Amino acid sequence: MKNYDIHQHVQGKSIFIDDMRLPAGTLHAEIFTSNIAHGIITSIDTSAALASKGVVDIFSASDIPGENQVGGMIKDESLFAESEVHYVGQPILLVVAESKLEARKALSKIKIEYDKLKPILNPREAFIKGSLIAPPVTFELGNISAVWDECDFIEEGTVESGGQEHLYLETQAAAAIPHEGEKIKVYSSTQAPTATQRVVAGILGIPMNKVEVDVLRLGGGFGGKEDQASPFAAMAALAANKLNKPVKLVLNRQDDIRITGKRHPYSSDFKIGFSHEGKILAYEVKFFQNAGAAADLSMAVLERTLFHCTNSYFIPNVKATGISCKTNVPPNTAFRGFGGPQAMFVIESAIKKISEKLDVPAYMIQQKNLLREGDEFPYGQRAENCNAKKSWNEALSKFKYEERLQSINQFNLENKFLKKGIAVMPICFGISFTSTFMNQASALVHIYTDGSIGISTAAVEMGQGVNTKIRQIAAKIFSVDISIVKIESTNTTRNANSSPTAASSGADLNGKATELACLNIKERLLNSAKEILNADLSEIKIENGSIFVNEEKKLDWEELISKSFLKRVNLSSHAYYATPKIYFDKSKSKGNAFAYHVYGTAVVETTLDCLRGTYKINSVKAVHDFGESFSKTIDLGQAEGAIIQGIGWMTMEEICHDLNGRLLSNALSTYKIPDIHFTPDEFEVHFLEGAKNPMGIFNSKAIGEPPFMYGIGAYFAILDSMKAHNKNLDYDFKAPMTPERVLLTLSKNIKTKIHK
Amino acid sequence: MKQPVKFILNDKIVETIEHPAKALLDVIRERYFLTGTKEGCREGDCGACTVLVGDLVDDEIQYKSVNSCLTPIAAVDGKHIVTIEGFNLKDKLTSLQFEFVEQGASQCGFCTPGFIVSLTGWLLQNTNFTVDEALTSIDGNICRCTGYASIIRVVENIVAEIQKANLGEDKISNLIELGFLPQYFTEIPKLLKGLTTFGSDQPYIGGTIVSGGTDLLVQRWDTIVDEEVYVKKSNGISENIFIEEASIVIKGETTISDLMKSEIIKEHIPKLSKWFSLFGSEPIRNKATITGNIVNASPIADSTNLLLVLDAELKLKKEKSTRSLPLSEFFISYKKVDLLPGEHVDAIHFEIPEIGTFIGWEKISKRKYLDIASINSSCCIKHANNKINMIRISAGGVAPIPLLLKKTSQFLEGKEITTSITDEVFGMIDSEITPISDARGSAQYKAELLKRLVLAHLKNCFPHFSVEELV
Ligand SMILES: Cc1cc2nc3c(=O)[nH]c(=O)nc-3n(C[C@H](O)[C@H](O)[C@H](O)COP(=O)(O)OP(=O)(O)OC[C@H]3O[C@@H](n4cnc5c(N)ncnc54)[C@H](O)[C@@H]3O)c2cc1C
Ligand code: FES
Ligand code: FES
Repeated sequence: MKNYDIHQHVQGKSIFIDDMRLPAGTLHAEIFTSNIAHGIITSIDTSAALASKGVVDIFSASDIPGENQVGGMIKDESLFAESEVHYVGQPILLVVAESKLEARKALSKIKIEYDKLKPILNPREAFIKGSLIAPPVTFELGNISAVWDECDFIEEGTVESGGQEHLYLETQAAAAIPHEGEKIKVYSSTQAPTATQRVVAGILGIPMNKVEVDVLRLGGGFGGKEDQASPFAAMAALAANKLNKPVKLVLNRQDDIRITGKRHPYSSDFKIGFSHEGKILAYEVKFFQNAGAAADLSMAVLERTLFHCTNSYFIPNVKATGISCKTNVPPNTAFRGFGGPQAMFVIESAIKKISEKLDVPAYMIQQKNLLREGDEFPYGQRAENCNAKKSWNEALSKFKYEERLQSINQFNLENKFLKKGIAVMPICFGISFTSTFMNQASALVHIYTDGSIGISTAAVEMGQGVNTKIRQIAAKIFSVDISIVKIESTNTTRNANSSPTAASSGADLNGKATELACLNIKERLLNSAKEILNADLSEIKIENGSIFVNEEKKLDWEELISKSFLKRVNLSSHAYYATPKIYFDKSKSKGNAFAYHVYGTAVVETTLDCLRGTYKINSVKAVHDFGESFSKTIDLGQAEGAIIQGIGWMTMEEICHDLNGRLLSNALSTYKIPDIHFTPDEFEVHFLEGAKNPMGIFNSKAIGEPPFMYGIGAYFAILDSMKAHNKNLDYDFKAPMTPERVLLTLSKNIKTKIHK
Repeated sequence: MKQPVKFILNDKIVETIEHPAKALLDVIRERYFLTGTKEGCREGDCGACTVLVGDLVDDEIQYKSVNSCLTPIAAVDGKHIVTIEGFNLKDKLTSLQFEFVEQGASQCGFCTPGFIVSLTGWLLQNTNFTVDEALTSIDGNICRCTGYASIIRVVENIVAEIQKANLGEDKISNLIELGFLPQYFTEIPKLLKGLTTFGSDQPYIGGTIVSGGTDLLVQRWDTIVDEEVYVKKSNGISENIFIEEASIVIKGETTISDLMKSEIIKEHIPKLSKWFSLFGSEPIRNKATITGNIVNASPIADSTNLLLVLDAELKLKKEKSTRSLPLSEFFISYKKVDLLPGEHVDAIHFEIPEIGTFIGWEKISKRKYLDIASINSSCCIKHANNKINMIRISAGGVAPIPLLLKKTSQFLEGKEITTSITDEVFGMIDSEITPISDARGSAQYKAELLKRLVLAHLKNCFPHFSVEELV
C-alpha cells in the first residue's frame, strides 16, 4: 500500500504550519535565548528592542498567567528562564512583531548581562559532582558476582556514543488563534497533542478544555517533537492570549538546532566474562547518560537503555545500571530507538573485545550467544516467537557471508591503501511504551450519510504512513474502496487524553482502536442489513462496497448507509484500546514490559582509504522481521530511512560544542547528515518469512525504530577495515566514527612525523 | 532601495517591487502564496526551496536549478521561475510525481517538492540520461525520512523510461507528451522574448556586490535588505571563459557550473569537472561564482585553492582604471582582502598549464558531497626524470587565509621524491601552518590530514613513490 499523503506531497499541496493561510494581522514571534551555558541573569534591557520597528510586545516569565513549567515526567523545566540560565539556547524572552524579520531584528537590540557560572558538560563530571536527574536505576538477572570466578576470561572497557540532531526537515512550529471565552486553538507540529494541550493550559492557567490542539501533519519528528514541541506551542499561545491576536512561531533552522535537545550522548563502562568457547556468562554495565539541563524524557530513555542492554543475546547474569546526569546542554530527548541504540553499541563493543581476546571473528561470538525461544531478558520477560536465530541464519546464507568474507580478505591482500571491512548486526527491540499506562489509544469513526468515512485517532502523521495504515484497516474491515476513507487531523477535542505518537506504536495502538470502532459499526450495519433485507445474519456479507445475501448482490454500500441512517442506526463509534497482558513493576525492574519483540540481522560492508581516512559504506543488507506486513511499501521505506539515520549517527553526525558549551555544529553546513551519495550502492532489506505476530494489528509488527540499530554495523565494519590495515590497532570505542576519528586513530598507530 | 522586477512565475507574468537582495523564496511564499517551495535551512544546504530558473540563451530556453533561499530577487528579472506548482497537471500526476508515489519515495513530504523540481530540471537540461547525472541533479536535496533508497528507485525507473523514449530535438514537446511537463512550457520562450524587463545591466558604481549570493545571503540575509546592493547578472558561458595570449581568462561572473562545462577547461584541466562535483551541490554550483569564492576569502574556498597553484592573477577594476594583482597577494588577513572601495573583480587569468604538468586537487570533508572541506589542497608540479623542477602546493583550512605552502614547495624544488625526505617535508609543513579546531575538525586532524594530502599529490605525480610504508 502506498502512503496516500504522497499524492499531495509530490504536487507541493501538503500544508505544514508555515504554509497555513492564517487570519490577516497574524503576528510573528522569535525567541531570545541564553548565549551562555550557565549563569545568573543580572540585567535585561529590552527598551531598544521594544522601540524597534514593527515590534508589538516582548514577553518573559513574569507575563505567564499560569505556572512557568513545561516539564512532563518531572516538573523541573521552565518555559522562560527566570534568573538562572542552564544552557546555551535556553529561552528567556519572546519577541512579537508584525513580521518575522522585524522580530528577528529586534533580538539583536536586547541587552543582557550575566554572572557566569562554570558549566558541566560531561556526564561523568556531573556524576562526580552529584548532579543527577534522578537516582540510578538497576536491572539485574542471575547473580554476576557469583560467576566472575567461573569465567575463563574477563574483559573491561569504556564506550562513548555521541548525540544526534533530529533534523526533521520541518522545524518546530506552532500557530495560536484566540477564540471567544478565553479559549485558544493551537496548531502545532507536535507528536503529542495531549501533552501540548496540557502544557499550554498550564502556562495560561486555564483548564484543558479551553485548549484545542490540532495537528495536520509533521515534516518529520523522529522523537524530537514528542516532548519538545510543547514549549513552542505554549509560547505562541501565551502571546496570542496576551495580545488577543493570532501568533505564529516557526523556528529557523539554526535556532531549532541550538534550542532543542538531541539524542542522549552516553559514556559507559562494561565488564564482560566469557568462556574459552566465547559463551558470555556475565555482563556488568554502567551507563552515564548525558541528560542535559532538565529531565525531559531522560528517565524513560534511560530505562529503555537498560531494557536493551543485552540486545539480541542471552546472557544469564547481568547487572546494568543507568545514571541520568544533569549537565549544561539543552535537555536531551526522545530520538528513534529511545536509548536502545546506545545500549546496543556497548554490548557490541564488548563482543568485539571478546573476539579480539579469543582471536576469532566477532560474528562467531555473536552467533554463539543469540537469544533462543524462552530465554529470559534482564527484566524477567521471556523471548516468545523469537526470531533472532531465524533472521541471523537467513541473513548469513542469503547474503553469502562466508563468501563475502573470503573475497574481502582477498581484496585486502591485494590492496595497500584501500581496505574492506564487514560486520553483522543483529537486533532485538521491544515494542510498547515501557510506562505501561501509555499503551492506550482511541479512534472515532464516522460514516456520513453518503457512505464516506471519516476517522480521527490519536495518531500523528509524520511521514511514517500511519494515516494510510489506518485507512487500510477501515477499508478492509468495511470492505470498501480505500478512496472513501479519510483521516482527519489529530485533534484533542476529538481524541482526548492521548499518548504521543512514539515508541513505534502509533499504528499498533491506533490501528487496533480503529479496528474496534469499525467492528462496532459493522456489527450495527449487519444487523441493519438483516432487517432491511429480511435475511439471516449468517447469509449477509459486505464485500467490495456491496451487500450480498447468499452471494447475491442486494444493496450498494451507499444504499445500506442511507437506509440505516433513516432507521436511526448509529453510524459513529468511538473505541478505545489498551494493550493487554503487559505490566512492569518499576520497584523490582521486572515484568512483561513489551507486547512483543522485533528481530532482524544486517550485514554491512565498507571500504576505507587508509591514506586519507575516508570511507564508503558499500553495502547494507538486512533480513528484517516485519511480522506480516500489510503495507509493504511503507514498511520498507521506514526500514530504509531508519537504517540510513542509524548509519548517520554512527559515522558523520557529530555534535560539537566548544569548551563553554556553545554548539559549534549549529547549522546544516556544520552538522552533516547522510545525502544521496552516501547511500550504499547495495542496499537491500528483505522481509523475514513466516513471522506472524498475533499481538500486532493484522499480524504485523511495529517498524519505526528497530531498523535504526542496524546502523551500528557500519561502525564495526569501518573498524574492521581499519584493523585490516593494522591488525594490532590501538583504538577506543567512540562514536561517531568520523573521517577525523578514523585518521587520527590510524595515525596514532604509526611512527612517522605525520603524528606529532 | 526597492526596485521593480518582472518575471514569469510558472505560467504567469508577474511584477513586484522588492529590495533587490530579498530572497526569491520569500517572494514566492509570501507574495504569491506558493507554499510548495519550503524553507528547510535558508543556507543552501537542504534543497527544500529548489526552483528552476529558465533563461534564453541563443534563442533556446535553458533551465537550471537554484536554491531560492539564496537567490536575490533582482537576479530573476526577465527569467522564467518554475516552482513545484508550475509542474502540476490538471487532473493527474506528472510521470515523475507518479513514480514518487509508486515507490513511496516521499514520507513526511517536506523535502519532496525540492526533489521533484531538481529532477525535472535534470530532464529539461540534459541530453544523455544516466542514473549518475540524475543523482548529481539531486545532490543538493536532503531527505531525513527515506534513506534515499526509494528515490534512487524512482531515478532508475525514470532513466529507463526516458532512454526508451528518446527525447530528440523537440525535447520540451516530448516531455509534455510523456507527461513530465504541463502544456504551457511550449509558450514560455515566446513569452520570455517579449518580456520587457526593468533592470538592464547597469555598470557598477558602488554598494555591496551580490553575484551568486551563495555566501552573502547565507551570512546576512536579514540585514542585506537594508544595504545598497548591486546584483550581478550572469550571461552565457562562451563569453565567460576564453584564451588570451596563452592565458586562460575567466570573467568575474563565471559560475562553478560554467567552469565545469567549459571546453577550454576540459582541455587544459581535464579533471576539474570531476573534482568540482565536490563543490557545494548542483544548485549551488549553478549560482556560485569564482569571484565570490575568492572575494569571500574563506580560507577553505575550493576554487581559490586550485587557482593559487595555477599562479592566477586578478584583474581588478574601478570605474575606468584597472590593476592586476597575483591571487596569492590578494589575501591580507582573515577575511580581509586587497580590494579598494568601489573596486570589483573583473576577471581571473592564469597561464595555460604546459603539457605534462601535474595538477592535483584534494578535498576532505565529513560528508564527501555538499560539504565544506575540513581541509583542501592543490598541487602543481613540473617534473622530469623523477625530479621536481617546479612545485606549488596550496592548503586551505590551516591558516586564516587560503595558503600557498611556499617553504615546503621551495624545499621540494629540485628534489627527487623518496620516503627518506618525508619527515623533513612534514616538519616544513608544520612550520607553515596554524590550524585551529572547529566544527570541521581539530587542529591536530587538519595538520595530519594535510601531510597525507601532500603525500597523495606526490604519489599521484610519481606512482613509484612508496607512500605505503609511511602510513
Ligand atoms: C550550501 C553551500 C555549499 C557551499 N559549498 C562550497 C564548497 O564546496 N566549496 C567552496 O569553496 N565554497 C562553497 N560554498 C561557498 C560559496 O558558494 C562560494 O564561496 C561561492 O563561490 C561564492 O560565490 P557567490 O557568487 O555566490 O558569492 P556572493 O555571495 O554573491 O558574494 C561573496 C562575496 O564576494 C563579493 N563579490 C562577488 N562578486 C564580486 C566581484 N565581481 N567583485 C568584487 N567582489 C565580489 C561579494 O560582495 C561578497 O563579499 C558553499 C555555499 C553554500 C551556501
Ligand atoms: S531552504 Fe534549505 S536550501 Fe534553501
Ligand atoms: S520525506 Fe521527510 S524529509 Fe524527505
